Amino acid sequence: MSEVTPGQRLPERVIGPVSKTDIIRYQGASGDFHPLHHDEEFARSAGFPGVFAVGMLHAGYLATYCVEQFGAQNVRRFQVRFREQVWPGDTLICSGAVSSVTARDNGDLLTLDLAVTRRTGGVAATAVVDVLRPRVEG
Amino acid sequence: MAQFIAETEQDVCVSEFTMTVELGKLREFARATGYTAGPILEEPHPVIHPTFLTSMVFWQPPEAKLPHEYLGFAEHRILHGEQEYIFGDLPIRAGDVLSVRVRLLPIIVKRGRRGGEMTFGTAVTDFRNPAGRIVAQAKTTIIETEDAP
Repeated sequence: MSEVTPGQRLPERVIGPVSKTDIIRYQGASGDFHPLHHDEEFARSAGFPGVFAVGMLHAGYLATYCVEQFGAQNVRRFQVRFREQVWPGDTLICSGAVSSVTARDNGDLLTLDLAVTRRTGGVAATAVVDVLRPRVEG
Repeated sequence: MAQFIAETEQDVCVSEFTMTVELGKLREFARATGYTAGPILEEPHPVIHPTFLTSMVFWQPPEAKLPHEYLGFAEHRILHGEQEYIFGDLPIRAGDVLSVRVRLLPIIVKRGRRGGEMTFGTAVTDFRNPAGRIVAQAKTTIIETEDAP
């Protein structure tokens, strides 16, 4: 990405279909072992049709989406809001746009508005992210 | 740019512990969140994935309660509303040892769209480097609804 302007859309990334294995892999990686996300009987007794993804899993997909484009060392803020549940079998689409560009001493601070959307449903989560785009000397 | 949230006298500290950022755990976490290639999988001290600090729960002392347990929120009526991470200019890398302090902000009660009460609990976690400088902060907002969501 050479020139960055407010309103510029980011290339989309498709993830999934999200499997039960993906969900339990995330639970093991993150330490959130809530049975709602892997124990079918527990999920049904809590009033759900079955297990669903941990919200921080698709938040994690959005964070990876940022890191791939801007680099982990440049992320300064990552704020995610949860909207709709993600179910096993869902294909997710990460998308977003640059909402503002602010010049700083060491480069530009970009604010991004991102969303992870279920192909067969609505927006699962949205994120506001600040990334630094260092000034390239030369 | 987002500023770190300062601690106030109204905050309640619920746990303090040390966390080591482990390369293997960071790689496992990256793979679990769709990362397929790049510095995290190739370098010995890569900068952390932005949501990796959620794995701090592995380092919490066994007797520590989760924020919603401390707040007394009913488990079947809670929603994870929002999660935020703020990072300073010193990146956190695999191998770093961090001091972690979890504190609860005063709760806020609001009236929801359908007239029911919603209680907002916010936990702020400060991550400090060995020099005592805050290098990252996490803010978790959980909502207790009046009826099951």
